[in-house]
Amino acid sequence: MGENSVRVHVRYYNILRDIVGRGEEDLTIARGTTLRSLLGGVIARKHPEAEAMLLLRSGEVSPYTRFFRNNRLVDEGNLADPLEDGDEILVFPAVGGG
Amino acid sequence: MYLDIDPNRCTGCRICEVFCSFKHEAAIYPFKSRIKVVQGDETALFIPTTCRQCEDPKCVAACPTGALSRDPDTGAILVDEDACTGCEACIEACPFGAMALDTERGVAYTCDLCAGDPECARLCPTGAIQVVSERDPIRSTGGE
Amino acid sequence: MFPYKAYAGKYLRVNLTTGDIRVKELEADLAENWLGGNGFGVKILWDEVNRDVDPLAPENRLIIATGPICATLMPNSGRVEVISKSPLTGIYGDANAGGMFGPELKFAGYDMIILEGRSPQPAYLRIKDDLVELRSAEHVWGNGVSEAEKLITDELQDDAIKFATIGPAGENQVRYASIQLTPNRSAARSGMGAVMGSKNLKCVAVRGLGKIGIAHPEEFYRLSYDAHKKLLKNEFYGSVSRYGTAGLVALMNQMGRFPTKNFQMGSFPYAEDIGAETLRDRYFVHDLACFNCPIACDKLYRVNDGAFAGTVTSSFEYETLGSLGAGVWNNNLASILRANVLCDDLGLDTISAGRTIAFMMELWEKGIITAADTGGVAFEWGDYKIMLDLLPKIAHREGLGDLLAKGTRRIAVQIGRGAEQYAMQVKGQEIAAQDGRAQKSMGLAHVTSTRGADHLKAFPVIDETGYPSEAVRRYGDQYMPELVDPLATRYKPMLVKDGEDFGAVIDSSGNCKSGGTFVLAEIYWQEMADAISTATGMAMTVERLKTIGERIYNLQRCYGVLHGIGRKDDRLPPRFKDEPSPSGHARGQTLDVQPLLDEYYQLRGWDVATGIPTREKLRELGLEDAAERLGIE
Repeated sequence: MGENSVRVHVRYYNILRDIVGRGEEDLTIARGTTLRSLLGGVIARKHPEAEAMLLLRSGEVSPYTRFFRNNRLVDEGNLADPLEDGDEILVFPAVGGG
Repeated sequence: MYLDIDPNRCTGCRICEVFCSFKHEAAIYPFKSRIKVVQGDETALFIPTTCRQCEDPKCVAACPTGALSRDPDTGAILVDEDACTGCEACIEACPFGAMALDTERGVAYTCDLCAGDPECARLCPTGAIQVVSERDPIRSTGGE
Repeated sequence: MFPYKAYAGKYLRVNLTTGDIRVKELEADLAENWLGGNGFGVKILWDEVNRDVDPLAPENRLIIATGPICATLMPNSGRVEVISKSPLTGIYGDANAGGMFGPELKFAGYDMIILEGRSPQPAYLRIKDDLVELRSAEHVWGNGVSEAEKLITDELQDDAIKFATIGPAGENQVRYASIQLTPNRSAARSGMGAVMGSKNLKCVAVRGLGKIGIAHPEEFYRLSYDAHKKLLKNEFYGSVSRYGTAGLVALMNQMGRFPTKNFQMGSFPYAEDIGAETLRDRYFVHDLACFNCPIACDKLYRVNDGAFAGTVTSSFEYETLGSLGAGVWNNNLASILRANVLCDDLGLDTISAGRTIAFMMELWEKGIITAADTGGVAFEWGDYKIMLDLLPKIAHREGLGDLLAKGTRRIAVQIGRGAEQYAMQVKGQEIAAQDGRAQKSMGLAHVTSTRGADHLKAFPVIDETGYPSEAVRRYGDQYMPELVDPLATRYKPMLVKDGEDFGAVIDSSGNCKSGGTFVLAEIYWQEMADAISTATGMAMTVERLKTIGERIYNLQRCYGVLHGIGRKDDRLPPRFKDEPSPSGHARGQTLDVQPLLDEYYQLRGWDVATGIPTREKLRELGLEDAAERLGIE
């Protein structure tokens, strides 16, 4: 990896997988990119069809989407954390019941 | 207008039957729905079946009293209930089973395209039923 | 004349011993106070099936009840409830199913069927509008559900019949036997199939060509139309519609809420092998819907290759992926599909069946049972061949199947030697695919459910992972943020109680909880009150509806109290308190329901020491006679 970039692995589940068009991908992002920027900036820009699911109209991350970073559930406070090389991010759209 | 029906999108929910019957009979009465979801086979599990507004309607041709005609705006088959004798000739003639006899009133009935705003298409959640102005030449036979 | 619309206005009383069939007019006060479904069911059980009646005796009643919203315009209006005294728990039992049977019964002209007695010979009940008759089922008895329905369809020359059928499991009175309803939906929990089998009744075959009228058509149409459209726009619609409940596997796994190895863990390392994405990619054929439902969460699946090629199934749910997958350490997805086919055709609850097998596997692992006990069968984790071999044996009560047919509580008592602590059950019914350590509200729900361990009575969904928008929409700001934290216990007794009361109304109305009422949380108290009043013409307010929900739930509890249930029975197996979860978001978590029970009983207006409804509460609900009967001062 270059000094100024990190590589993360993202997995998409359920209907998000269909909207994005794939179940997973590697993304190379600028070092210091936060989780919020990854979701709102990188992913939403790369997959504009998924934007409505990931973001509110305000640009804030949707409260309906669930994220895990290295198997830890991400809460609002974690959205400002910078990502590190090799991080695995799981993205789930709203699902419930049962 | 025509109803373009894609059986591949049909889930068998029968929302069309529920709302069609409610619109026409003021009750939830799937037996009297003008559209019926017919059980298919592996190639198409569910087939919503209704009048196809045939180019050359066999029902109209078969009717001995001239009770059947086409709506000039929508193309739907209309039944003149005063002229209809309940003879069921149209029911026999329809190749798609889209004509039925209302046994309570003794007259034939079929899809009237809801005077231009088909209820089934309004409610169908999957887009299996859509209103089109021209028939899909591959999917629809129009009775030919 | 029954004064309300939307109901069919009539019901059937069938005495299977004498063959007597009566058509009764629905009593207005029954509808006004108990609504339908499980409300009707508990009232009839309370009045007619006393403490001394064995669930498998002729005197038990089997009640099949729809509700006022069933077969109307409101979305997800296809549900029907089956109620009886449960052979699995010995207390109040019920099971709910979607599909097409419930609406067909209403179109035939009946809100409910009450069955009592026992037919001298195997029989089935045939209904076609006004025609109601008992017919011999000798020629179909012994058949799987599929074959039996095919034979009767041929016999009656009508391929549009809707069925409620038992398989060999019900015939042989397996304590967790199901009733299967067209098309392949399961009224699975509480052993309702065993009650039907004990009555020598193979199936109910219905054809309904009639109609359901509406009191205020324009208003009811408007709110129903809006409800249909709102569901399509709901945030949960996309995934639930495309993947069904299987879509829960990966997320619940991450949360540590996917019971694995008989609840030793809350995550399954091979969850991806049995998750929704794998399932859809490999085996999906077609979407399937229940009556008047825009969500269509059911799917047809087919296995095209491998050892289970040719397996075709539907109604393949998260629960089954849990109980016959992760619960038994099985990651062979095709084998779980095959097991689903077996359970559906034999008529077995996949949850209790899978949990019973998992229980045996843990006993084997712990050395509590050995080859001497099992006749050489090695209950090794992950051995799906044993699972597939045992399911028919359970249904036919052959060999080991006879023991397993009793359910985990009875097996534990029979085996002794410390087996009891590994029986993952509450009040005799096995816990479903939720780990209470990962979702504290659900752990409480398992304990307070009136039919024994079950997730659907209270069905807390908003805090499975935590959806603040849904929580605020239903409950306002006042309970945030803890209300949506799955690991928090604060406010959860409130969530559970409200879920139970609202759920009692949904299960009385003929609506679906997996649809717009709980999972896609668009329809709540106000919407239901409006739907019921505009559909039926009954004056219905939110306050009145809440009272009805509370009344139903309290009487179900009273029925349990009648049979000796109290606080002492409101407990989880020790694992939840003693063994911190090793899994996912729930790592390190334990659950002690005792403090939650205190608050729950207070909210319910029940005695905190005993867990029994107080006389004041019962009086408030118009159930003072229940207080009398239970000797509550």
